[in-house]
Amino acid sequence: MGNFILYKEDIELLNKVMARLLASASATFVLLVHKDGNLLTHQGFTRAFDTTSLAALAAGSYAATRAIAQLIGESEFTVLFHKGKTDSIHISLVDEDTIMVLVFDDRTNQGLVRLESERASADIRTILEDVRKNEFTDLETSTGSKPQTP
Amino acid sequence: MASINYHTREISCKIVYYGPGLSGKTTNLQIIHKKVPKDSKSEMVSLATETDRTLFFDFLPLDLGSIKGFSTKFQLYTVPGQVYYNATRKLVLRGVDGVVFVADSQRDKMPENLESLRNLEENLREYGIELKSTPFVLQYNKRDLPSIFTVDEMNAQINSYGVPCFEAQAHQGVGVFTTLKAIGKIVIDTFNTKYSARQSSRRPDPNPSSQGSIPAVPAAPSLAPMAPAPIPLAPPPPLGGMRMPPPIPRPIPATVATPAFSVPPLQGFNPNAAPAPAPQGFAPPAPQPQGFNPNAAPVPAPQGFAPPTPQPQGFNPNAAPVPAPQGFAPPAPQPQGFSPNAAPVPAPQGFAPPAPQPQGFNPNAAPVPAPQGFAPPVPQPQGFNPNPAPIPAPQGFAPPASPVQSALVSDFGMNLPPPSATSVQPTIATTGFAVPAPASPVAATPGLQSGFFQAPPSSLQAPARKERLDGTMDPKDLDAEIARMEREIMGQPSAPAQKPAGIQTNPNVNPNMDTDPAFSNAFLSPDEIRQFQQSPQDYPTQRLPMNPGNATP
Repeated sequence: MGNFILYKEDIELLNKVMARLLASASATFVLLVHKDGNLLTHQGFTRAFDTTSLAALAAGSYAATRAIAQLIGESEFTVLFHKGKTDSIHISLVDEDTIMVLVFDDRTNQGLVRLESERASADIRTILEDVRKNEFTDLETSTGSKPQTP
Repeated sequence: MASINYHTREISCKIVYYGPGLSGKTTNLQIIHKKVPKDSKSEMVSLATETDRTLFFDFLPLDLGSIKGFSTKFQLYTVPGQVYYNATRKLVLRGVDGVVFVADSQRDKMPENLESLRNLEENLREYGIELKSTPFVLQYNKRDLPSIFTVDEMNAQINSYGVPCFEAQAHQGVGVFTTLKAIGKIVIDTFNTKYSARQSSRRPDPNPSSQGSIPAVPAAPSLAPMAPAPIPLAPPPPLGGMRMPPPIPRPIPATVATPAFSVPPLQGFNPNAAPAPAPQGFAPPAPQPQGFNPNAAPVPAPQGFAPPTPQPQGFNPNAAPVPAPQGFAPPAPQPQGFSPNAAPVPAPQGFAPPAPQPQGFNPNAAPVPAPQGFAPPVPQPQGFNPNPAPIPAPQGFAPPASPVQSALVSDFGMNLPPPSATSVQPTIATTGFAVPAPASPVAATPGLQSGFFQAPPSSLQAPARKERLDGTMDPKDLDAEIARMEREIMGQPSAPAQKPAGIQTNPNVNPNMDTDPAFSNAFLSPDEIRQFQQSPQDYPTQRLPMNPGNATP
């Protein structure tokens, strides 16, 4: 297992896709979470929420559901949906290491959220394929941008 | 698996407290949560049963200061200890960067310790991780109880890898932070070793003489002839309160051995840390011939760990306990952990701790006197090396540097709010949408804000329609409507209805077909929609052109 290395360009691309998703699905906020529980990036109204804990718990919840899936012969569930009175959470699998947590309220509907998050997942998957090829650079000299490879 | 975010300048690591049920894992986290300053922690999440037994996991995110401007975010997890929760334990172990095994020191709990340790190895193996190659420390908890094994007995039974072990009374907070410091340091060292090796292999040092060897420190000529050794594993560095098991009676794997030389240990940040006894057989790290305390020397990080090659100093980490060489000051028992700065060893001329030692969590720590003749550490040729700047305590945590902010601003042309104390939280407004701060997600749909869907001013002067598209009454016409109904009731003929001009279509089906001049401009024509979809501007249904490799946002 390699480490997950994110540069400024990756984060900006991810944020752009996620902001577009937020706007088109009319969701409240969206988190991109590694299955280990690390929060990779987020968009939307997250200031009022403890996103770190939310990411860890969502990853835990997803992992537990995955164990349930295996009990019934599935490898894993790709979508997890928790409905609340006004706010709901839509957790979807992006790729083998990453899940996306979308929080929305009753001003939108689940179908739209699901449709848009599937579209966004495809884009995020493309970006993350590229992220996996990232290499470590010196922390001290790093500007945050991806090093230019000749 | 650690993740490095160069954008927000964060390194995240996952540390799991493992051990049998009721050994004190959750107590460890509770004590940490209680004693750590508020600005370096978040809320602790505990998924527990009604009787406070951990059901899924406990979770505590923690800031352990910064390394080269990158803040280190440690995520501490515990597992449920009961045997039958193994599925949950396995889930929590995913992507682990360091393991603390909390063992119960009571004599009758040893079988459970052994069972749990075996279970840990099995679960890690399912993720393709070997315990001996993972940062791993032991904590012997409940040292205050009667009928406990001695440390040597505990070592003999469960410390088969020869990893650092610590005595603790987690309930009183004794030994909790010593353990946390140790595992944090080992995780960072492993991280360091891994990446310095990777980086040096990718970009070879132009100066081959410094490759893989210790860069010569001007003030310490005795360090220069240290044997170059490329190394597979970070050594567990000696730390405050640490007890290395005596090397002779147990087989120690070649990959884990007493470190060849030491790194500056962290200042104790546990007010209740157990005194660090200098145990028998404690092999002094890198005995230096000149009577200086090796731990205070700016020894660069081990670039990995030296296999037992003969050192010029004749120090063999695997050999029998070496008597401390002349002049070497063994770590004396100190009340607050093994602190190099407090050691009464006279620092040699020109020698100093490589970086100002952070005071850490310890409010009782004595202020470190500024050393004379401070020699700044030599720049490391191989990148990430935490040793010149050991994990500073949370008080030293610096928020992400402002360049991150300014880059965001310049790229998106947006004015962000001033950076928050701990994280950069770009809002939706940073992405080019004209949505400054959508109070309502419905209103945030970009099309509504983009001007294309808004009726042109001419429509405002157009005669108002009596009925809305859905057939309900326009409130503006309510008075006229009431007058019309009154006339009908009075038997007077009502005014002839205004027939809208143009072709009569159902505007709800296709509003673009409505030729009413009042509405014909209110919607995009099919041609306009087509043109808009082909344009590179943002449009809600348009897919983002993906070219992440060369993307210039």
